Amino acid sequence: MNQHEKFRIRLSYLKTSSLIFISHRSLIDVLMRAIRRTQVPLKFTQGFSPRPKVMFSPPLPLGVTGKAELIDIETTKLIDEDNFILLLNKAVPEGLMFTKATNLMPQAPGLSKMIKKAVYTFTPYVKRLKDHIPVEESGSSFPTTSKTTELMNMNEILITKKAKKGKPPKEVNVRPFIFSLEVNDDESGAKNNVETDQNDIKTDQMVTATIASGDKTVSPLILATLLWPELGESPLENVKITREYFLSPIDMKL
Amino acid sequence: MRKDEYLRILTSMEKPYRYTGGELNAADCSDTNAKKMVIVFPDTYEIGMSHVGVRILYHLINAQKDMYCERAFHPWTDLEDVLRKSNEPLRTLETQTPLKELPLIGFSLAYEMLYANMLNILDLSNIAVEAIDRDENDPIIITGGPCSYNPEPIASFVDIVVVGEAEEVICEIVNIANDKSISRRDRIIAIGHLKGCYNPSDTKLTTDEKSGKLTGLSFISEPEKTQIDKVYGKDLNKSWFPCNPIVPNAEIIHDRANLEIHRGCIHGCRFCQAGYIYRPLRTRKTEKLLNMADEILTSTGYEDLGLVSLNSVDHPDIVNLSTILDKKLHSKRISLGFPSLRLDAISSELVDVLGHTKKNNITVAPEAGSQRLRDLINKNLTEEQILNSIKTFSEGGWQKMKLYFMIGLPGETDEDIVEMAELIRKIVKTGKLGKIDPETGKLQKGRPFKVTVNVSSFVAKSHTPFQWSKMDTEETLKARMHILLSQLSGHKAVTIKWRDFDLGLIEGMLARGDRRLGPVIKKVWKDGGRLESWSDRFEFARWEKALKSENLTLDEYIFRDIDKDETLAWQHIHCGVSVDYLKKEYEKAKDEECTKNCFTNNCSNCGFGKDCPVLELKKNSDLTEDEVIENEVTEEKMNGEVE
Repeated sequence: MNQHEKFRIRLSYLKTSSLIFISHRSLIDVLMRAIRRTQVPLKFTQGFSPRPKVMFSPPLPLGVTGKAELIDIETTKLIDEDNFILLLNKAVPEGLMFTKATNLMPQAPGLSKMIKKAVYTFTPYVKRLKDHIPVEESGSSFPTTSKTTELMNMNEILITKKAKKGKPPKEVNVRPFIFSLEVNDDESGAKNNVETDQNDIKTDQMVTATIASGDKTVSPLILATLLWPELGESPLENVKITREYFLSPIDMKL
Repeated sequence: MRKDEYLRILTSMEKPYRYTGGELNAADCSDTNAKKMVIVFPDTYEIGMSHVGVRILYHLINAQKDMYCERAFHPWTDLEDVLRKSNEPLRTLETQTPLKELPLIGFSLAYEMLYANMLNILDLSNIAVEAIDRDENDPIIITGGPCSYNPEPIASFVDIVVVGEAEEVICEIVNIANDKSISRRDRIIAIGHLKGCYNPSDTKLTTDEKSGKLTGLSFISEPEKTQIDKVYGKDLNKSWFPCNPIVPNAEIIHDRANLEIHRGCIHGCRFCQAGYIYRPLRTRKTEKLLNMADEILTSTGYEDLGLVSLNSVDHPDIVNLSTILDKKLHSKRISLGFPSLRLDAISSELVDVLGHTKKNNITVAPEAGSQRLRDLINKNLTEEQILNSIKTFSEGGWQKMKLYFMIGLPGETDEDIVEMAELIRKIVKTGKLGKIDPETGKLQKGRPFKVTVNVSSFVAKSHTPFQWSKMDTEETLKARMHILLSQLSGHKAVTIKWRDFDLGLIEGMLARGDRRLGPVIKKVWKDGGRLESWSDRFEFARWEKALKSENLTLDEYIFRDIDKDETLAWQHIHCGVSVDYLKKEYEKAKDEECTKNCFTNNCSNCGFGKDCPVLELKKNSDLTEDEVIENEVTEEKMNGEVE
């Protein structure tokens, strides 16, 4: 094993079903154990307590599904991409699936430089929404369309952020972090299937949002409450939120 | 509520992963034709999943072709509130099935504070808490774990108590419990006739009319039976241990791969129930352990391997085993841990191995501060041995250590607490001596050294020599604690932690309680008592109130010495160690006399007789008869006790 040579490989994975309830910190353990099980020769940091050299895409909020989450790992050997995916998926917890492995060129920028934006989708569970909106008779007309346009037309969207102990809460304008908000009406009549055990919860509207990624961003959970204010503080019981993919600085799908 | 709706309400819970299952190596329980059961650890997921016993049984049953075992835990208050509000039952993790729909529920009871949780889980599952109120379609409720050794306080709530190592009988129990060709009552009776299985409804008690105290117990369907002998495996190499354990998705209390290297203990500290009920000492062979370690680490990907036992150093081949493992694991950056170690046998080879592990996890348990008290509790540890091992650790580079002490031990005086403070000061002083640089061999002086002292109060448990001893009142314990704190006040290198003394009193009461405590536990549960092992949720007043309403007092259960001829509530439960031996040990304690460990010394005749696996172990070990005797002499010399 040569600790001086360095190879980087980028992994794409799904975070779904029960795994959406796992915090980023716990997810790191889950991912690292999955990688350890393949016995690939990891490259470690120097020093008193060596750690594997890895880089993760920005954390997903608890309860949000991820369809193309990313990790870069460093190894001391060149790894066969397809075989690595096979090995990784041989033993994974429910909700974790590795979809792609790509060896990176030495000069390729890291994830923090590559990820600038993220695309999210919001899919309401129809049946549940009806319980919450007594006035709406037809299942298809949610107040989404007006809200998306309304929100995009605003110059400022002020959100009160909880501050650290002893400090007053801070008001933040999150409008600059929202690049686009679109309603995808289901014109074909083929309803979106929201993944559930029973596959029987259907909806015909979906909101797609492109928002900033990184430190300066707006949480998709807050965006959901802006889109459906009637759902209150915990929108996840009624709306499925998915991070579909990340965008690079030149808006390339990662 | 449908299954998917149940899963969706979990999104609003603080830690949904406590209820979802789906972890790596969790069992597939979708085969509806299989014989089923659910194993419940009645505390939260993080605690229950750290319990090795639950994991052994879970994976053992799931390894059977025609059986499966699901899991359930006590919900945190957030989920309980939602379930109660919507009148929904608690469900299993594997298939989200309500517990009531399974034929067999096994509760793992590792400590007494779980009793009220068990009742709450039964109630949340719409199952009657009293065994007598259950009907033909209800599951059979069994319990296991250390609390089985005195099951009397919970006797009216359970159908069967498994005493000993349930892995030896659990598959037979699952078979019988799933046999719908016979009535529920007959199933329970059949299970009650298995080895180690106790059916409280099959007993007849005679009590003293005046005091209500137990005077005798007989078995209705087996009049010739006088006692329940624990069930255990004589050869640990043949006992089941999971090599593909579940890997939780989020951190639990002990988040590591576990390998049980041996079971049982040869030391016999007189306060320690584990030291008696898990006897005799049985070990796994090194070769087998190495293979198991390989398999466990490959199937889990864990970065920590813990060698689990009551005292890792007791394994006859521990130096060899840990050196080989250390060599293998160090290059893979997997650390090796010894969750429990005694100080007397720490060798320099072991310290080398420990040096490769994380340097903050050494815990040392002198238990008592004075030599007199350490002899009284049979700790078999001299001050010289303690300080020598501290010196070895300090030279190895450790700068932090956890110390465990007990207060309220039988025969303890204020003077013993003063000596405890003195010992702690000496430990810190020794720890500051400094590290030896591995390259130059020179001592690096002036290094800081800190200790965290954990003080717990003595709880008298059944099946120990102290089972006849009284416990100290909260006032006495607080006064002793005050002495320790004032003795060490201003000592910057010492942090002292202690847990609520009143919780220990209730534990002590339940540990040696009788059937009259059943209604007390039920009242406490009805009054909101649950998750009481979380100290901020424990309420002493609730227990006091419940005791009062049943006309019972703590005085009777814990604040008096029990007469040695008195009928004990648990005397029909046998752990293999004879009552005569325990009595003898209690007398020796009063004389402050030690009993040496039975491996490097002579057999102490605790009750396992000629079949005792320790005798076999001694035959196969490197120790020759001469060495055994020589050891005895040198140890006695060290203690200054040569006859």
